[in-house]
Amino acid sequence: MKTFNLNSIMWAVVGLMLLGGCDKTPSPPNTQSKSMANVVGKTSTNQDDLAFAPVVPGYKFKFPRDHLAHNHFRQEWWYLTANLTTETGEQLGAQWTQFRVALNPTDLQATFPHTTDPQTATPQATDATPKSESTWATQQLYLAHSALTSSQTHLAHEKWSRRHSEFAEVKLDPYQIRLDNWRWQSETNALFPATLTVENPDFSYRLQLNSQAPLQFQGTNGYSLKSRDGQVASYYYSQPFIEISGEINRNGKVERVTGQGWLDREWSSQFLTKTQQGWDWFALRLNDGSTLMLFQLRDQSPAESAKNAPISAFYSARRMFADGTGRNINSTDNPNDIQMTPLKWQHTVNGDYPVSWQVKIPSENIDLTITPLNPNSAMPLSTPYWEGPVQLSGSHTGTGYMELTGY
Amino acid sequence: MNNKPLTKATPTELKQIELKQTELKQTWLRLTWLSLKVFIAHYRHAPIQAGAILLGIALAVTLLIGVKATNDNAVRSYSDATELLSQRADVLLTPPLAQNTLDESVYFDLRRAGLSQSLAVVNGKISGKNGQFWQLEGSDLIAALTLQKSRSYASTETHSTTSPQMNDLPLADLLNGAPTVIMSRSLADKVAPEGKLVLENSTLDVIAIDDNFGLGSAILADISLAQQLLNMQGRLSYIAMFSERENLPQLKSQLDALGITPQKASFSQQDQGQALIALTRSFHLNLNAMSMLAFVVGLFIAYNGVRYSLMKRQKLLVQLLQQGIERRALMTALMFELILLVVIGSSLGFISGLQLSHWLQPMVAMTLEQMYGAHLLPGIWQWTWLFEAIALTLIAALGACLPLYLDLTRQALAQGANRYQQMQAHRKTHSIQFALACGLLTVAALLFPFSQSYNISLVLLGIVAIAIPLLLPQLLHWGVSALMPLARPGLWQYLLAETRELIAPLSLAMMAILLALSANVSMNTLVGSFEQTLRTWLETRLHADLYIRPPSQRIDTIQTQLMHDPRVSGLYQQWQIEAQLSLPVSTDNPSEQTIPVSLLSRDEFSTRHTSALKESLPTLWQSYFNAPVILVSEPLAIKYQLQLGDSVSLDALKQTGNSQAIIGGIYYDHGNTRNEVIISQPLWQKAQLPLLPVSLAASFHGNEQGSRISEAQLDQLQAQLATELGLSQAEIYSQTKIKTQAIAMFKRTFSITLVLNSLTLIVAAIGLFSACLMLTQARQAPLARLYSLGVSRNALRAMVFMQMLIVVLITCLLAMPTGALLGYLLINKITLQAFGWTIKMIWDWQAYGKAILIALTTCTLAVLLPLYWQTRKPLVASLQQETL
Amino acid sequence: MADVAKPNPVAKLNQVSKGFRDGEQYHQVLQAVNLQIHRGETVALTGPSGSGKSTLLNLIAGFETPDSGEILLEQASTSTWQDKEWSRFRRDSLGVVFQQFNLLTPLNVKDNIAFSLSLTAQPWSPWCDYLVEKLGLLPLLHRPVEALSGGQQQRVAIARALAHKPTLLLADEPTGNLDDVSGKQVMALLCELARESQTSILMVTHSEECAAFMQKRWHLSQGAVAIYEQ
Repeated sequence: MKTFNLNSIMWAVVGLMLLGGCDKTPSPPNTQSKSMANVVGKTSTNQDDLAFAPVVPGYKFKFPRDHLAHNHFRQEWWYLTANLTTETGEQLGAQWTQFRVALNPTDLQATFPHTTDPQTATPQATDATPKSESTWATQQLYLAHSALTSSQTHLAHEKWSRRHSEFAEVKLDPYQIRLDNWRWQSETNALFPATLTVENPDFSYRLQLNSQAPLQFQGTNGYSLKSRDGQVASYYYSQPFIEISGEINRNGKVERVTGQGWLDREWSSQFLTKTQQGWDWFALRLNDGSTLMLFQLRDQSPAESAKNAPISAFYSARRMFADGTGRNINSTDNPNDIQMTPLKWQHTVNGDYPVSWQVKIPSENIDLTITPLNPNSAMPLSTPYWEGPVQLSGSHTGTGYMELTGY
Repeated sequence: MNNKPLTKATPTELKQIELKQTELKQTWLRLTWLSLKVFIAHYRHAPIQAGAILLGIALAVTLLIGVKATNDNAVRSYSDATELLSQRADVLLTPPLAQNTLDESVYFDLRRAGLSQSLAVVNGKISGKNGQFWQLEGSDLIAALTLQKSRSYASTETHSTTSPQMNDLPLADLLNGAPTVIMSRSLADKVAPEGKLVLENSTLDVIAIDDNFGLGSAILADISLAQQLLNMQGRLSYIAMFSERENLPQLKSQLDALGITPQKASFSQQDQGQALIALTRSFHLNLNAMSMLAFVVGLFIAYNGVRYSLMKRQKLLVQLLQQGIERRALMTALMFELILLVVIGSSLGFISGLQLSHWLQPMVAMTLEQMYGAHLLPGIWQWTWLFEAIALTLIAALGACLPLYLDLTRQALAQGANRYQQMQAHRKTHSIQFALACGLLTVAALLFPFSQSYNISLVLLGIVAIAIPLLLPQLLHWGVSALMPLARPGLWQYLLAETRELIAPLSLAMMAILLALSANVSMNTLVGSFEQTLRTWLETRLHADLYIRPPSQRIDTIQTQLMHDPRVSGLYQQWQIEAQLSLPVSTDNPSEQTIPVSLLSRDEFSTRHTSALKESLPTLWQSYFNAPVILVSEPLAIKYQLQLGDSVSLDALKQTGNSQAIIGGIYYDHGNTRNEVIISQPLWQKAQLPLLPVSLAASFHGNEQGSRISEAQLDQLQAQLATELGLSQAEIYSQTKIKTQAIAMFKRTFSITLVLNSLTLIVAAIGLFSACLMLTQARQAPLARLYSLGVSRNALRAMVFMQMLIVVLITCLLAMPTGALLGYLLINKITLQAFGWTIKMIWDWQAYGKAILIALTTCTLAVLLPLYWQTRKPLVASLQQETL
Repeated sequence: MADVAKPNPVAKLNQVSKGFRDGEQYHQVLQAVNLQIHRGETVALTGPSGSGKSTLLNLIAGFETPDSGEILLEQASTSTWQDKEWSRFRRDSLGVVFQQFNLLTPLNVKDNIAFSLSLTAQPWSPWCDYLVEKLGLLPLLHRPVEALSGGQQQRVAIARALAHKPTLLLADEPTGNLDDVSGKQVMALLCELARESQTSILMVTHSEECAAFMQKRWHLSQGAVAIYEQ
């Protein structure tokens, strides 16, 4: 699961807008949300403005409809992480994300009419923009990240575009998600099988993705809470069991790779609560064939985190199996079940991150020590965060991916 | 014989020597300090002296910095000016041959191939209210922002432009095609004070951004809106691409691989503003020259001030010497005083110079935009300028004043006996100067006819400009001497005899005035002649009553309508596309040169009657309409040295099977800096170039048979036609209106030069004032002598005034031929070679008279005021007490 | 000894007082003096330095005005004279010779001498030729004045002063810048020529030898003038 990437998007957009922002330290959410509001423009000045479609429980997912963009929601992403091995046995991690941000609640090029569902009827936005006939007119912004991590190097790139059906779009027939020359191209209108192509000056990869497992719905049938009081939530489904084979190209050297991948699909309209600073998220593949999605949303400043002060946080986790079953582990029912402790801090260009963790979930008999493949996996992009492949030891072994934000 | 070994100094002796040395040094410092204190007290009693010196320095630095700031900013703008929110493109993909726009799909191909460092741009002219045309630019704003951000990360240049505060822009609305546009603040204040603008019958919201982003007078919109307004759906004007210089060949092959061949788009590398820098060099040189002149004159004022204050302090200095202050200490103190004054004066000048530049900015921006299409960024200043100014002024001031100081400290009381020798020395200097001037003028006269390059002409012009003032002192001598036989013995005789003596001290000031006057007269001549030529040329070119420029999709219907309109007595068309002209390889031209030109064609009548030909082959009209014969504009011909009968090739003619053509005629094209070529309609059609004209013109019948329509009727008709044809006021122009606007624009373009001219003249006048002031002081003795001999005060005043008047009149008289000479060179050499416009030189008596009047008035004031002050005081005291 | 009143004095001072402030002090230079100069008289004006001898000359020449009293020049009262009248007086009836020569430097010797004449539109007269010859200036006539020696220049000054046959000649230390021999020569010439043109001389001098050339002597001291015959 990739929760609260809404925050990273928010920061990304802000980072773009405050040009001159080589600022690596993220500003606290309050100012960010204000900036985001400014970006959105005169139509929405309040983060609590519900002009965007709200996330409510009881949503019925339909595919391939829900593989596409939900333009009435504020943000959305298609997020793939992969643990790969080369023919020589070198461990690598690959990441591809395409984010969507709506600048304005009313999208005139909406491909997804959401208003038919009475439960999610959108209140009319006070937007007097007349309908434009131009093919360039849009309210959606796409942002994509791609990264390749080895134990020695961590390369990452970013692309931006407005939505345009010719080069930055998510569409069907067949299903594809693209931003310029970074493309997820499925063979049919289903997610898999698909080919993911990413090209950059210093690295590129072309991966064949396949999965037989059913989709996993996080939270309560895809309604995923982000705070104890239920203020913030998102729609969220994942596919943690993806078989990957393909090739990578690093500085001209081509190698074949195989491995496993994890796709997260999430969309929502609301931000973090006022007190939430950032999160630590894990997608772990255990050697018993199950996968574990786990995150904590921290309620304190990084400085306090660093001092190992007692963390007040919202936890959420789900254990998932290849047959499509899974069970939630969350902090509402079982407050002290999930214990996450940072073990080691790494100083990176973006700041200090806790790159090594101890995770204990007694109810699942999980006691893991998580170590990063490359401690320096800080993303030097318009939004600063840390994301990279990890290895597990302890009660289980395996690989996975970790994302750290808000430091 | 004495084999005494060299004795070394004992330690105590050494110590004593050391002590003595330090003591001496301390003494020297102490004495210097004492002297300084005395000087400060002196200035406290006579602050005007210090004020005069400061004024001179401040004036010098003001004009120096003012022009330097303006020029520096302009040049910086050329290199830094942004492609509207992103940095200057390295490569442009422009429409293919014979087309005005590019297909959007080219851009999509680029993006899909991963060439994300590219920007799609549409631009065009769009009409507003009241017949104004605006330049509208539209691009993918998100791509523009991304590019700028990534460029500023990568850029190591220290002066990359700052970025707009996008937080203030309603990005959401802009991206969505909302009717919102962006313009620079200064423009918004002028044309959309309420934040709304009407373009093409739509009301748009206006957002103002800082002038820093180089929008100039263009309007920026998102591509989603711009395409609609410009009616360019699915088309682009060009694609700007950004890439490292080393990667350009790779980029080209990538484009080829994508199938982006010349059929789809033309690939052209950009030059980072070099072309613009070269083009505007003359303009900036002109400004620089004037600022240097003003700098010299300002320094002269300061020099005079120093001389005056030294003269006033002479007794004081002598007394200080007698008191025991060493010459060395005195010199040091004087030096220090000068340095202090220079620093203060320069700082004051620096501030007012920046102010001047700020004030000149709009005029300069207008000139540059009109003539070269360059957008000017608002000024930034740097501390280095101040230090440069101080350094320059200091060196110049020290250089000028050092002789004064040395003279002073070397001889306690100069005077009297030496004066005669001084006079002789001056006479000699003046004749040397004259000889030098003649030499320079001869050199210039010999070289000018051979100079084809604009740069050489400019150097020669500089030589002439230096030579002119050098002529003056000797000519003044001769002038006064010529008058002497006319003078009755007595006061008149004395008047003239003394005038001769005055020439030396006044020569510098008068030389400055002469130069400023000549420059003034020559510039006025240039501008006046140009205006006259422009008017005449417009008369020839504009023959129709109304000129119509409808949107391209409507031109066909409008043309048809007009063809069938009984009121129309003549309908004329003009076609236009962009093309490339290739010059053949020759001895001057070792490699083939390709020049982008604007290719026009007109209907036969217009071509025959309104082409304003400068020269043509005798067989022109016989062959023009049925053979590949072209007309080229004068600027094009002059820039690339094209002659009648030359064979060139036009890529646009490829479809005819033969892209070669002969130059059959060269026509005047005043005011246009772009290269232009005209071909006949038959040739145009043969080359399968677009059939639809871009503009139309129509003449109308008057009341009587065969007559033309009257002015009043035309106004009515224009309004009628506008409604009938559904044209906005901006799309239909009357001939008179075009002429008026052209002249108005022309006047605005030259306003900056004229302003600087006047400023320089004023500075020169102040120089004269200070010279007169000093002179009157120095002439107390002669005046007192005359007074004692029985010349009344009024007679004295009249005499002094007459003396000044004679000198000034001779100078003004000399300014006429020199001004004419400079004007001639400016018109027939500089302007012709730099721009390629032939201008007929017309001597403007009024302008000359005006300049002379200013000079005379200022000189009169310059003389009368000090004189009046002088002669009110008791005169004879100076005879008895002061030894001058 | 009271001066016998002769008719028609060239210059007459009646109860003339003049003082000036010099910083803190007030100097009363002339205290109600009564003086006369008659046609053809030569007077030497002596006194300690700073006593105001030059001031007396200035008053007579009109360069300064008296604080009280009246000055009559050629029987005309000067109290109402403006610049115009003074200038006319100086042109017509006055000649001045200074210590500093004060010749008109742009002009040559002949033009200098002729200058005063031309102010009153008088042509070069035989008298001028006589002056030139007597003063030994013939070979120097067309030379620029600055090229002359001190003695030569003073002689030109005398010629100039006498060229228009003024009634009064004021001399302020005329021999001050000359050596003894030249000085004596100049004095002799001056007196002789003045006698021939019937010009009165009032001469300020420090030199006893020069004073000896004069008929009378006025000794100015502390505001009062003592008159002596010689």
